[in-house]
Amino acid sequence: MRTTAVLLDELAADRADDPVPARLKSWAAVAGPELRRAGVLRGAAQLGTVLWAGGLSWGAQRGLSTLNNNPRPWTVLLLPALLVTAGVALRSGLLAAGDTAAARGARTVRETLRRRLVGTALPCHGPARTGLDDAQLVQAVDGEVDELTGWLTGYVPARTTMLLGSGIILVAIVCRSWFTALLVLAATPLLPANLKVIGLGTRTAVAAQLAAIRSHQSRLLDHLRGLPTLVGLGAHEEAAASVAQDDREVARRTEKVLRIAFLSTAWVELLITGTLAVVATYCGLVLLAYLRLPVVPDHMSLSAALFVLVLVPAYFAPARDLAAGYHARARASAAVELLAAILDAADAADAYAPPPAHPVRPARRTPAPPGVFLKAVTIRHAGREEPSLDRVSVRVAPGRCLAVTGPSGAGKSTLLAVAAGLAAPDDGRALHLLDARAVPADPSRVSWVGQPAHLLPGTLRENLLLARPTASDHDLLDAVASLGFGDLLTSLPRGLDTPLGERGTGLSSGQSQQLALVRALLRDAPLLCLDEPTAHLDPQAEHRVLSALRTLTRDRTVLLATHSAALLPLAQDIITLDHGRAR
Amino acid sequence: MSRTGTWRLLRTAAPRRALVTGVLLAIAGEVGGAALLGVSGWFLTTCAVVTLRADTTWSWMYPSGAVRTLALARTGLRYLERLVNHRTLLTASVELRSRLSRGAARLPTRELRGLRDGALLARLTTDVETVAGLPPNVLAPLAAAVTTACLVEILLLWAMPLLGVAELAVWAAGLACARRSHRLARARLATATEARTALRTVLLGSRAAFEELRCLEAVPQAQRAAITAMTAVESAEWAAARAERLGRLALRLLGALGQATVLGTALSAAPAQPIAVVVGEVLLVAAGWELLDSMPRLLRHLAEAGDAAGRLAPLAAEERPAGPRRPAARSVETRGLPLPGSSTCLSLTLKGPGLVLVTGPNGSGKSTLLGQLAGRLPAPAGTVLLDGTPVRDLSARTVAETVTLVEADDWLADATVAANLRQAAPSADTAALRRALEVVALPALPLDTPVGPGGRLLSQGQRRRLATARAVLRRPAVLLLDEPTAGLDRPTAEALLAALPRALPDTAVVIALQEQHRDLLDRTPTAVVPLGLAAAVHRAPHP
Repeated sequence: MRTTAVLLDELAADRADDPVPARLKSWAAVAGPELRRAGVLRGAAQLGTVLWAGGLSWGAQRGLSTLNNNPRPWTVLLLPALLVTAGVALRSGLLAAGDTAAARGARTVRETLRRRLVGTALPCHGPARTGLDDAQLVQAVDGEVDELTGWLTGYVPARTTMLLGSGIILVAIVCRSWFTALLVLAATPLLPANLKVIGLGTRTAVAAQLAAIRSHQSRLLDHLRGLPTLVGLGAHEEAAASVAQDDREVARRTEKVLRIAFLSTAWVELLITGTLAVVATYCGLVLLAYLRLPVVPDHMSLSAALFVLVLVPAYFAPARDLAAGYHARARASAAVELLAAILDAADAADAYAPPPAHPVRPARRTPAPPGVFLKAVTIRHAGREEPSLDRVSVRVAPGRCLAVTGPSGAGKSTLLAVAAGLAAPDDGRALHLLDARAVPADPSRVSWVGQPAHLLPGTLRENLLLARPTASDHDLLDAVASLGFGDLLTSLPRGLDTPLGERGTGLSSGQSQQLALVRALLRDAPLLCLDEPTAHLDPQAEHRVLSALRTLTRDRTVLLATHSAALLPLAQDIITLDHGRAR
Repeated sequence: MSRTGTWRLLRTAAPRRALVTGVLLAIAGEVGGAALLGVSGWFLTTCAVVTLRADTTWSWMYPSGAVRTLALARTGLRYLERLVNHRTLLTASVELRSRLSRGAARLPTRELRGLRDGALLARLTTDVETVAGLPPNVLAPLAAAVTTACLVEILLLWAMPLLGVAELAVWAAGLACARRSHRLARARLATATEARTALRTVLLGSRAAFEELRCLEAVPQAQRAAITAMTAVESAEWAAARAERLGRLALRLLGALGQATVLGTALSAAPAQPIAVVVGEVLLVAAGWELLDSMPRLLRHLAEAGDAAGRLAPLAAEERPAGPRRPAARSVETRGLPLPGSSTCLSLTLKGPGLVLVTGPNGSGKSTLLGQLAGRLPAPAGTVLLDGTPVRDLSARTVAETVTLVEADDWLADATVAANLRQAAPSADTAALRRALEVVALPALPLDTPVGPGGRLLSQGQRRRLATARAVLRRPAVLLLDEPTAGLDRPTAEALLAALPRALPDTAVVIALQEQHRDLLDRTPTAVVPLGLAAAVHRAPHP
């Protein structure tokens, strides 16, 4: 429904106090010079058109003057033909240069925005933005940013192009026939700057139609969500028919409204072709010497007549492109809403979480593992009414293992994140106890193993070195062997040099999980947080992980969130969460 | 998908007459536009020649009238063309959407769950509109450009064969050039698509493992990986756009060559060619090249529509012949169905009145087992039989006649209570609906209450009971309920579980309950399937 909705959107748009264009402009400012250059180059391309028209009319004039020479000398036409070629070539070259500049500018803007979005998604300091929907974020980076391209390359430089390009043409026309220039100039104010001029009287109808399209879209989404249920009830045919009926009705009304939208395009075209016809008739009459009016020039050469005639459509072309840019503009505006929401949320979060004043220390093994003390911790996630954790208090003595169980969504991962100092509680305190001294929880003391284990693109060695950059190959192999995963490396022909694609392609989820455990061992942090370390593993893989965990949990304080009964014997204490409360 | 596939998909949705009308109007409009320029040039030159020769027999009225007529006709034709083609777009979208959403219903439930929401909606809106947008965005301009070029070419061949042949050669070169740059751009875009997938994976993976990355202080590395992936996307797309730009530049330069050829050849070959005709020809050729300018863009649109049609193909698959309509089966039987978390298999027959209890802790596979019994999820081994026929060989409709499953958080339509109930029984009267609501202990809920999107205006308990009431109205042979009492207080839960067998005296009811809620049942179940621990079917002696 995109094309249609965009057309309607433009008709209904209220330009007066729309914050979106301001936002768009501020983003485009990064590439301001490039985009301006694109506009200038495209405008200057009209010089080529002028040359072309000059060559054409000159050739015609020469042909006319040698009308009675038979045959015409070939050389007479060489120069005009060259001029025509040069004109078109100049125009093509300048247009191509302009397009390149515009594309480069758009790329700069896109890259800047994407960098900011990536920075938002993966902030180097402070907690993860839990309010962000991952799918939405990826959609923003991958899809929405691209929606700006058309606007950046087409619409932003178009004003410069129009002023410069049409200006050049107008000057050229004035030089040959000032009266034609007057005719063209008189037609200019009739050109609607946008669709709205014509849609003025129908704003309410258009807005209603737009709302109808959106509500139909949500009905379609509801239908798709319910498909398995509807199929199970044997009712999907009827439901589909009723949705289609609704769709048809919306389309029928849309069509009516669109007639108005197309009127404006038709008006622009009528203006251009009409002016062309008037200019052609005027020039013809002057050439025939039939026109005898005061003031109006009554003499003209064929060359001048042809010259102004072919330049008339070229004069209007940039303005028509600008008016047609509504499509790109509306798409960009729609994308801005989503992008701005994400970036604004990030900016707001940054205001609350200033970067740490001191550089984060690398994890170092303190002589004794720390204790963990959570005091009436409450965590609320944006957009959810019930808190994820509701006044939960937990105390883990140094060197002990606490298992956190409970149904999915009960707040297990959140509890671990708070205990690790990865998330700041909205209420209450999260403390680590170092030699009976309470300090704020800090992730630099923590090793985290989650599910799924994440491996960055690169070699296996690089992924292990993330945990301890100074480790030698020997240290790495030692760590692998000490967890009993020696056969993991022997099963990979390239050993530590095995390339890992995105998400550790080439390894099973069990193998990835083993590497994550090795990483935790290399990290050698005194507090270990295990978030469902064996979820999605088959019993055999789970068993291997379990025996490695026995080694890993020795002499460490451990928080273990799990569903699996097999892991529970590791723990000395168990806490059960339900709807964010300890039970 | 091949272009023919795209075309076939479009043809099923758009009536031939509308397509032909749109294309004809577009052709007429563009030919009119080119003719307007050509005739104007010819007219001016003739005027000059006539004056020069003092020829008094020539009338300027007709040509000048023709210019004005062409101007008006072109505008009108273009307006009509837009209207017709956009109408085709709208009707084709509606038709395709309705067909494809029926096709989506035939997808296996698991695939549907993986797809639904964003992805499926995007296919049914954006992709459908790309395919349905072929008439206004590709077909009409392409046909118009090609026809105009052909007409101009025929005119040239007729006026001066040598010139025609020369121009034909230049045009062929132009087309080859457009095609080549299109191929090049497509290859680069394929790289870009791969890079995009990589970018998405890096982002999603890093987000999922953010806690681990932060503890490792590896977030900057993850950021760098994402930015590298992003740069790869941009570079590949830059290369594709560059190929397209170069193609357009080459096309325009060839256009310059074409026009110079006409001007040089035709003017030097006088008197065979009057000067006025030559000027007209040059302008026509210029208009033709202007149209061919859009070729790279049209080819790209066409390729995009092909991709969209490829994505839609699984949904557009022809409906399997329904086969003989079967009567609703009366029994569901399982053979060797492996139970999650244990080595035992489930062999069970559900027929006639009875109550089977499935228990186990969270995540022990209760919902999976119910989904397999309902034929929505494939069983990894063993079979589920309906009256002796494997469920995977039966149409969804036949299964729906026999088995009704109420999932834990079942979907409710964003409509009224009555509309939701009538999905199960379209012809039921108000009294029947009220009775169903009484069974699930919701007698006070007005039938015209809107339930909101996803049923969010109701409480969790109300949602579950409404979904259960909907299933009761189906009066199935086998009813599968996944934790129907969650979110209910004890008396209500007991009342619901007691009323169900009374309301459905011939139905085999399978209820999944957590172990601790087992005492809500007022009767002894005919069979119990415990999951998670030592799973084995405990059969209670028949009463």
